[in-house]
Amino acid sequence: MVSKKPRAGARVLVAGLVIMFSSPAASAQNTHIFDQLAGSWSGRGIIVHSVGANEEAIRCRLRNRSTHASARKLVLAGNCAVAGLVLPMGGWMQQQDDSNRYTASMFQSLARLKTDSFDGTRRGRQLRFHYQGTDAVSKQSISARITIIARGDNRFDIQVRRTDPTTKKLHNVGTIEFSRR
Amino acid sequence: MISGFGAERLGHLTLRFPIVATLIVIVLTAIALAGVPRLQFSGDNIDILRDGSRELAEYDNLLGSFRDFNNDAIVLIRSDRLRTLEGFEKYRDLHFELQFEPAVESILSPFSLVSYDASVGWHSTVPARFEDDAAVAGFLDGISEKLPAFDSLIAPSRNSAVIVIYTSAEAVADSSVRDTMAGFERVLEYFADEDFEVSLAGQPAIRADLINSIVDDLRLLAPIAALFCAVVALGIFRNAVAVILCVLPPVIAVLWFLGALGHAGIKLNFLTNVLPVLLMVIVFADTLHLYLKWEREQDGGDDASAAMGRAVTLVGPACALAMITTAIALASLTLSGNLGLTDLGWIGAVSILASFISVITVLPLGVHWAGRLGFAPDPRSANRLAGISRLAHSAVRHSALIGFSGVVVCLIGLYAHWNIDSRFRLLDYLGTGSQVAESESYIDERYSGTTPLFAIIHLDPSVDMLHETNTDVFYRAKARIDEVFPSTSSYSLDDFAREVEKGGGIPRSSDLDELPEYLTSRFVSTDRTQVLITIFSSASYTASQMHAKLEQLQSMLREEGLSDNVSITGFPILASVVAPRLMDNLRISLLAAVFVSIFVIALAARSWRIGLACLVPNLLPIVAVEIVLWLAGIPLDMSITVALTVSFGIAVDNSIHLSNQYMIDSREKPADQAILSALHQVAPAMVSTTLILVAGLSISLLSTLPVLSVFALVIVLTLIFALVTDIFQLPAYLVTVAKPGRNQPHQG
Repeated sequence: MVSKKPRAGARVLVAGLVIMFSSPAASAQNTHIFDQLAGSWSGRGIIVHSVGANEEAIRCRLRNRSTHASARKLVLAGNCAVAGLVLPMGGWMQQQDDSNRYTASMFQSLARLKTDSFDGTRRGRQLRFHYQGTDAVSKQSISARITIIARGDNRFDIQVRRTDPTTKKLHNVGTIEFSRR
Repeated sequence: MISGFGAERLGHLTLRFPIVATLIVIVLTAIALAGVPRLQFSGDNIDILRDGSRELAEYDNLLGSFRDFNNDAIVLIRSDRLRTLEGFEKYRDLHFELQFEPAVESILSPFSLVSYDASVGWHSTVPARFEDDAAVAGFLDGISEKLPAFDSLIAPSRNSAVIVIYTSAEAVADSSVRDTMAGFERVLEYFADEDFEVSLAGQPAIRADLINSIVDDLRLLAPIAALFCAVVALGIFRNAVAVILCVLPPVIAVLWFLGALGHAGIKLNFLTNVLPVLLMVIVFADTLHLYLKWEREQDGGDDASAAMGRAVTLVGPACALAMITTAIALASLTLSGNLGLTDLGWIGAVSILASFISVITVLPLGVHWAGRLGFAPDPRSANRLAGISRLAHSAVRHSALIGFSGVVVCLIGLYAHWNIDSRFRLLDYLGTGSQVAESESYIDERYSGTTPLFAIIHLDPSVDMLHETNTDVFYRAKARIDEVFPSTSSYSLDDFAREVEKGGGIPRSSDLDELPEYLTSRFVSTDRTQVLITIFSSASYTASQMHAKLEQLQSMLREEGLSDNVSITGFPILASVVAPRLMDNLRISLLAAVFVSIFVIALAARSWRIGLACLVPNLLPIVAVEIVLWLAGIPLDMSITVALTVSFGIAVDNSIHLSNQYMIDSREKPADQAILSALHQVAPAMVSTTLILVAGLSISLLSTLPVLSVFALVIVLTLIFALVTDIFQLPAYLVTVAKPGRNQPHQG
């Protein structure tokens, strides 16, 4: 009867969440995205941390707070958990004026990432972000793709894909479906 | 007259300087009141068994080297839907939800288990999803064979399951454990429904439950007991001022006690929790004796303070001696060698002695100021109870027969005292009706309890943990353990090794480093020099059965030459070895309390005859209760033994007051007349104090804490027996021992 250590897949998934929330989702049409993502969210899904690995159940709890003081900002808090492991989520992202540029500082220690700039695009109800960086476990360069699919005011999904360090191919990590708590 | 060792002088000083004394009492009470909010509570319960023995040292080694298993909370799930997709996923959701709790360090449940596969390494044992009910049922049917330890988390019948929550030490400290458990309860409430029962168990839940009970008792029972005593006193005195005068000293004594604990940072635990009620009733009893003497002295219409001065002179020494004997009874608990009872003994003894200050100062001050305001007592009130003394007249006439029968009953009782069974079960100390207690019982039946037996294998640190030298010791020890506990399951390094081998790998100590410490700590010490075998033995073993099995195991290990390599410990050891030893010590401390108290009475009376006369009448109430328990087949447990010891200290009070008055009256009368005269004077106080004590303590029968309710029941029974023996036995003995000068005034 044994259990496991934090796995790279879980970290990457969380990193994906970080990237997703820190993306430049703001265009003229969707500056309200932070308001839409504000509130308490409960997420559940299935992930596969690497090619050939078994599926893992994942649960997330997020409490996001949108502020409008000098700039539009979303403060994130919460956790994601895979069996036997809880990964703290916390940080913030901020829109830089109206320039469609965002800065963010979130979860670097958790995701073991050293980056704070992200690029993304919006297509309809989907936000797609791309991350290029170093995998904290394998130390190899990886890329990841995060897709947010808004499903009304009370639901959204996150799909995460990333480069598998072994095969170097894009691998579907999994999807987490969020609903308001 | 009995000597109070000069303690009664404090009463005279109080009456001489009433204003200064009043100010001192007010200041002391104000300081105590400031300390009450700082009062802290402790939920310790296993610590009650601490006695500095080898068994405890090994248990401490276990907690220090592996993990403090006493911080593990257990969630018990009872549902017939666990074999369904919906029920099993709900179990999984509960696991995840608990993981999000801030107090949780990690969680052990089927969903945190992994299996080994050489191609992908460790992976979750439970699939991330199931398609339907059949898939869940199929998985559960097959998993026991692959992973036998799975059954220690979901019962083989699959209608109950547990989740083990590893909490941080801070989260389950006395100051925070109730909040932590309340947080868990909120999560459980969200998941609970008619077909999915969830409840908490384990040491943190027990500690939280104990603290809640202690706080509830303190907030409710002590004030209600005081009120009930006052109501009974009102029925006797039929005067509200008299009741207030008698209630003030015990209430102030309890405030001083709680305030002192608060200022000193001493936590009230489930044993010392009996002290507030105990102080309340003991101080009430002595106050009544002093008050009723004052009433008699005041009868001639004298000045209230002057009459109180005479009452202090005549009864004050007996009050002091009564407090001293009660303190001796409590202090005798220190002979148990047990740390929890030693604390109770010392704290109790000191607080009883200190509470005498309240009796000897607060009542005289109350009488002084009430007299100034024109209050005059009605001596007829208590005299109504004097009629009971007439019942003792025939006892005095047949003193030899009464005395002989008392000795016979005492001898039977002493036989019962040494032959009555003893028992220690943690469940006996949990609140009645407590959900935690109910869950603990269920886990005891289905999962062999939350506190299994542990075998610690000490490895050779100079070689690798999995070196042949170490594995040879490990497997030989495990084989012996399996022989002694064949029908039980165990979990150890062996399961880890088999899991790796089954997955096509080769067990290496480095594989352990890939596992989180909260799991490796279940079978390997942090320094990798000791490994643990957890034995899920049957919880239904009696102390003697467990003791026999342990003896057998120790003997086999000695034959194998492994006794230096293997230590067996765990709560079952403490309960089967340490607890019986504790009970034996308590039996001795009870008798020690009796004989030391009798010696002190003889010393204070400066008469060995008085001491001797008090022996049988004061042993009788104790042994009478033990005979009742023995005949009813009720084993002695710690609460009963402690209660018997303390109740002796209370019961002897009436003997002291009767002997004191007898000595005063025997200066002028022959023994038989002196005792009847003394009975006429003291019987009202004896009856009224017993009535009030029984009334006050009866409230404690409502306590959810068995320690307090059993404690109260035993004391109530002892007090009733003591009243009977003081009225019918003590006079006979006093007359018997005075026989050489029976018709002459007493010369002692």
